[in-house]
Amino acid sequence: MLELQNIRAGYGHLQVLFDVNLKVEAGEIVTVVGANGAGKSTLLKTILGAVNASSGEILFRGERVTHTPAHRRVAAGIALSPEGRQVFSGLTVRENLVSGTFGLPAKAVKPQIDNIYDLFPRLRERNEQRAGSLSGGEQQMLAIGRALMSQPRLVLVDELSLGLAPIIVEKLYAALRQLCERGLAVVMVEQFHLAVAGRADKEFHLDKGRFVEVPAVSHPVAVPVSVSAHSNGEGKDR
Amino acid sequence: MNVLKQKAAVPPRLLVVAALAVGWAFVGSNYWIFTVTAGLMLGIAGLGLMTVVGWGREISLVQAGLTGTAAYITGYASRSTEGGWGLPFLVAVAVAVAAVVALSLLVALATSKLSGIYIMVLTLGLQFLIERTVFTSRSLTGGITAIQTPRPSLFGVDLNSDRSYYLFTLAVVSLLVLLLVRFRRSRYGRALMLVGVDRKAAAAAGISPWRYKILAFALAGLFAGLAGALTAPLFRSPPLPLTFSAFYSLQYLAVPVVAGFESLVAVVGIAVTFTVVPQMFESAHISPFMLGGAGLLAGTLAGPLGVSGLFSTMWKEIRSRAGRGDREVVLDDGRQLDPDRRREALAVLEDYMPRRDESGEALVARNISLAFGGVKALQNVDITIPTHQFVGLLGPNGAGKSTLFDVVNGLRKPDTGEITMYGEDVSHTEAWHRAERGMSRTFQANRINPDLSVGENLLIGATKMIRASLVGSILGLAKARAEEARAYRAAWAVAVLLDIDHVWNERAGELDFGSQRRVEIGRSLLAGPRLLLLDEPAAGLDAHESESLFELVGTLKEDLGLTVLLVEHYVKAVLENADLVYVLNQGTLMASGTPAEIAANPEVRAEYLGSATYLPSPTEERVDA
Amino acid sequence: MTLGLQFNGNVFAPSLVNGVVSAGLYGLIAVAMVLTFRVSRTVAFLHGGLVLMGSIFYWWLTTPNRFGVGGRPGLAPWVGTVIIVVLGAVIAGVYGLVVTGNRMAGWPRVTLTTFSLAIMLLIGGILFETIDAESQTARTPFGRHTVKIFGQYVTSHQIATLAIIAVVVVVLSVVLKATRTGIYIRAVADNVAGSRLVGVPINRVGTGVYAVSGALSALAGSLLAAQIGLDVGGNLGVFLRALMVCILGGFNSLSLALAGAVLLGVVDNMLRAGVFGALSMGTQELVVFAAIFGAVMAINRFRPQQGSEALAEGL
Repeated sequence: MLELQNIRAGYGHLQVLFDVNLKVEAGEIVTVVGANGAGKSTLLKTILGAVNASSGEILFRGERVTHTPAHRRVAAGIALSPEGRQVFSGLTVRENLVSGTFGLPAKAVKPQIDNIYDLFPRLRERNEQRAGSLSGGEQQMLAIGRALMSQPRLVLVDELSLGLAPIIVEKLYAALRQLCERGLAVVMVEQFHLAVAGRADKEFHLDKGRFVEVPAVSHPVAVPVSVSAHSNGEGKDR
Repeated sequence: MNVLKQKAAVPPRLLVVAALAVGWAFVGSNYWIFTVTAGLMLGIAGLGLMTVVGWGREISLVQAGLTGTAAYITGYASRSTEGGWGLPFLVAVAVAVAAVVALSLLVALATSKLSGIYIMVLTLGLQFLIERTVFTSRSLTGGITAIQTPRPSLFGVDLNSDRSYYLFTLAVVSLLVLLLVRFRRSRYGRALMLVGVDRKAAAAAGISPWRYKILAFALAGLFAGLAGALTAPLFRSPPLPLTFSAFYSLQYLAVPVVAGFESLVAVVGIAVTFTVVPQMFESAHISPFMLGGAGLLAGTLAGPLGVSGLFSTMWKEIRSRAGRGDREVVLDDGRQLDPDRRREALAVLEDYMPRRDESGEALVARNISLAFGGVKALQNVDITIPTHQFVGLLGPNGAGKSTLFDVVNGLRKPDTGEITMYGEDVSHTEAWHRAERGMSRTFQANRINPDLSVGENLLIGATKMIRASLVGSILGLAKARAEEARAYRAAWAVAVLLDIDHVWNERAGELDFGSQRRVEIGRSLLAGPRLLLLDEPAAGLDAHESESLFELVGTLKEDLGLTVLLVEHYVKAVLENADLVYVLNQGTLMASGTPAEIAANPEVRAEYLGSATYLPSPTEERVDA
Repeated sequence: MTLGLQFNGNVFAPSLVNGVVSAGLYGLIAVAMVLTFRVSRTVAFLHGGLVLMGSIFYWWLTTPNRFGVGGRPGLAPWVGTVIIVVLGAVIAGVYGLVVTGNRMAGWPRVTLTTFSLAIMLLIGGILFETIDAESQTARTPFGRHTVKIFGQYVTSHQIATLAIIAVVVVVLSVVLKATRTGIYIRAVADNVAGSRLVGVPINRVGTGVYAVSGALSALAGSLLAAQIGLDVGGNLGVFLRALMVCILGGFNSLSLALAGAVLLGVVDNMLRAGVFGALSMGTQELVVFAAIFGAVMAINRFRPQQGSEALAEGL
């Protein structure tokens, strides 16, 4: 489904990923664990196309997408639930879902919204509510729902468990598992190992931009929940 | 240390250029001397814009209008015929400059808290107002009749010849450049540069953004006034109002943008070029607007350093390719600080920190509530920060930690509640005011000025501690110099303690995240705080870096007698280092106590910590999920 | 400058009508500016250049050569209008393509704004250098009929201007609220980085919005040429009024901007018509500036704190 070959990527002069190789099959859940700054979000953004790979190749379902812009990749079947959720706070829940449908024919939008609401009934209740007023868990559901709107084959999830109660994380995870049984592939990144221990089909560790073996010295693992999050939209402009 | 060597009082570059310019006075033809003089006028106006646009990062669209106003007022006030006031030349100049500075200040005063759009529109509006009032007044502009504004004779020197007027203008320009150089090197210039790049960070560092914007606009007005005042005698009659119209304000804007914010001499050079080129290539019909537009375009695309910056970047590229290798500057975590150096640095810092007798609680926030957008961010929160303690604020995402932090810091006003700092009520004061009282804060997203060096960024923190007046700094008086030297030494000491002394001269924007974090912390230390607010200091750092950072903070707290409040997600580090912990959840205080109490608190564990048995212990064991 | 104010009742109603009509012109430009602001978070001074271009170039295209002198094509007003609108769309579209593309989108606001100021300066420079415009009004595509409303003669041109802005506003509100493209636009206005990450075609959306806005401001310029003539100061003055109007709405709310346009248009016209006594042009400008100044100070004083709550609302 997805293959990364010798990917190097970064922001301008700042190189973040070095010689990353990754293979993901359909129906698989793959987790990438790494500390802050290791490059997890950059990895997902590179797969999505929001960050340009400076060298290497990205193959999606056999096709080279290395230089395809992000919105085209979304149309082709890759979708992302971003770090910090990034829901559009001024838009309603329904409008947020619609915003992720690039590539989907107009007729399919409404049925797909219904599908997402079946998956996350709580969102159906909040259909016309402004996304900015949802709780953290609901926003995460919305972010994932929005990613699923384009009927992707590959979903990228950035820090699913961020600041959420464990019960909710379980629910979301179960929803994703359900979809994987139908062929969806998932790449999740998490800061802490424990959040995903034993749940993924494959696990990788990212350290300063490179995939490494599971560290021999057990880095003091901290508590699995409530990891660093950016308050939504705060402090961006002056 | 290199860093303490004072820079030359007059930059050598300026001397060289000035000498060449003077030499040319005896060689050039009258026509070109006249043209270049006109270019120097534009240069003066451009220098004024440099403070507002280059350093303050605001866009002013009224500079041409102000220059014109000054030209007309000078002409009117100095002539004794045709209804003028007949004042001596210098007095007329003073009147004109005062009027123009007042207009400039008008805009700055109205937009203290607003973003740049308002300043742009207001200055454009003022430009229009000037065009419709001042520029339509026959008595000021002369209208159809030819009014004379003869060359003055100053201090017995007759300036009638173009050559002498050129030399006179050159002298004025050199003086003004020198003035600005001194300004830029002083704490005022540095502070202004932070205000331009990040207003919030400046406020948190004790720098009032409003005051500095006002200062910048006052300077811009001053320079526009001088430029205008010198223009009328140059042409011997008031120039056409058309040459000070709105589009010309745009062209003036191009001057500092093309030159970039580093070089003041370049500003004058660009201005002269803009004036000379259309004349030189007269047959090609290069309109000044097209030239200005092309220049503005090029300058914008060249980035904040302008065209001069382009050259210096190219130069750096060549040098680095010639073998400086990997420019990435990464902190070497393993470096141990030599204990003697450490002691020395600490001694300097202790001497630098203000003596404050601390009594009572460092901070008491009572009954804080804040709601916005229908969300109750904080509800009746009470926290107390005892002096000399390390206090941690924990809580899940959306709990209101950052909001509370902002309220304590002064960047946000609560709906209800009071805050007292060391017994003083500060509930209604601004962030920079609280900074003056000893509160210093770092931000999660390293708000440093990426274009300045590490050293300059650190020094910005010392702005409030340097007791040097504006005039003293510009004139280079002994007291100002001594104060700056003192701050330099303290900044160097901080750099040594934070292990960033080896990158003192590097552009802060080129450092890795962890180093930038340390620069920010260093800056906050240089404000001489007694209460340090750290906003998620471990964000963006890996486990190892976080540990060493927390250790460092703890040590500094002990050695310098600080009180620390921090907001964090990295629970382990907080529970290991703090004396007192507060846990927020959904806007209310869930628990408070020592780290051991918090870790054992059942409600906290259920809602936040999870079922993991977490006990801070030096020998780490794998914890069960 | 006379500062004595007296109220002239009999000029009140006609100037009210006139004011509402002029509001149409400010409104068109204001809509263009609010749209591009929401999509790029910067004030596109480009529109100032386009208004001038629309005005001067339209005049050049459609005014017949007097006594065979001038070298102008002398096209029909309709043709001229279409050319101007297309040209405005193309220039702004290219500008939008560049400014919302990957390379420039991440630049600081100040830089993007100076970029648009540079374009405005360039357009102005090219126009002034190549076209020798005479100060007269251009021909209108809407015929020469007049209607009397509340004692004021209103030309078909002015009515058409109002009709145009009404249509534009209605179409825009429908598009923004009810279509997917509208949602994309509002998503970009809400959070650019997030939009990129969920697959919104930002460059496409940005280019489209800029093209439409460019067409609107160029159109406004051509309407101006037929209404008040080619005086550059006058044209720029209208642009400035539009800017002021946008400021009142914080660039976010189209409805506020339109309301401001009407208010400003009415006040402006009342001053000019002498409702408050005969005031010189200078005093008029002073009053308008003072009003804007006062409004800005009020915003400064009473502005709500939260930054991230500046919403991307629909109309």
